[in-house]
Amino acid sequence: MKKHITAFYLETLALIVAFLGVLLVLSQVFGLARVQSEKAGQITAAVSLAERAAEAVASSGSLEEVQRLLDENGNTAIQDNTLEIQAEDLRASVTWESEGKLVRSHITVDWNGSELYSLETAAREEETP
Amino acid sequence: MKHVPVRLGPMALLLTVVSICLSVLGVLTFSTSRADLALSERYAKTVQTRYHLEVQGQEFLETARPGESEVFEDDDMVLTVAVDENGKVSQWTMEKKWTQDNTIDNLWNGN
Repeated sequence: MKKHITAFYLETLALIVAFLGVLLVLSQVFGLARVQSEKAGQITAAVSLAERAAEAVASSGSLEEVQRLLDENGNTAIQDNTLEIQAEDLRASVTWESEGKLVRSHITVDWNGSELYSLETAAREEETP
Repeated sequence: MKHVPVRLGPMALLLTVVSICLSVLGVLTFSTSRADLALSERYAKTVQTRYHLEVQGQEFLETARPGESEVFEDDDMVLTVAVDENGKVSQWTMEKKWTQDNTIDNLWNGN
């Protein structure tokens, strides 16, 4: 009888240890999945912000015009010919380099100080008819 | 000494089933998040390619003479730019390169 009780305890202990091992591995898997999901969300938001900035550059004649298009509740500022945009955890920098009629712009999007995405674009000033 | 066999009881079966279900859930969660990340990276790459072609097209327009046209390629995207005789942009087409799948021939001609 005593041997049966001991066997039962051993079996239960082994099951609990095995189940804890499975839970440990799965918690790592779920954690990694969450990290990947968050990164995907950040990249999508960064690309969306960069695209908006690029389209604003294409449809503007000056950096001030770009600022007017992208400003939301005073989240933009111009410093040293660079437009800084703060959008939640993302920070975008938009440069404006004029080469005659051609304007080049370099857009970078940072997250917590590290560069997440960058984009180069150019636009020409069209002659008004 | 008589050896007492350790038999799997109902609790072992229950924990086994729970472990399998959680493992399947974990695998699905991981693969979905991996797919999300891959898609967002592909979107980022596509946007970069598009605007790189935009830069090339705008640079071409700076120096283009009337009647000229140029085709720019990057990755799997193609930009075709053309200027007419009056110096105005007559074509600005950006499209993805694709080849028609002809593995199934004459499936339906429409009549």
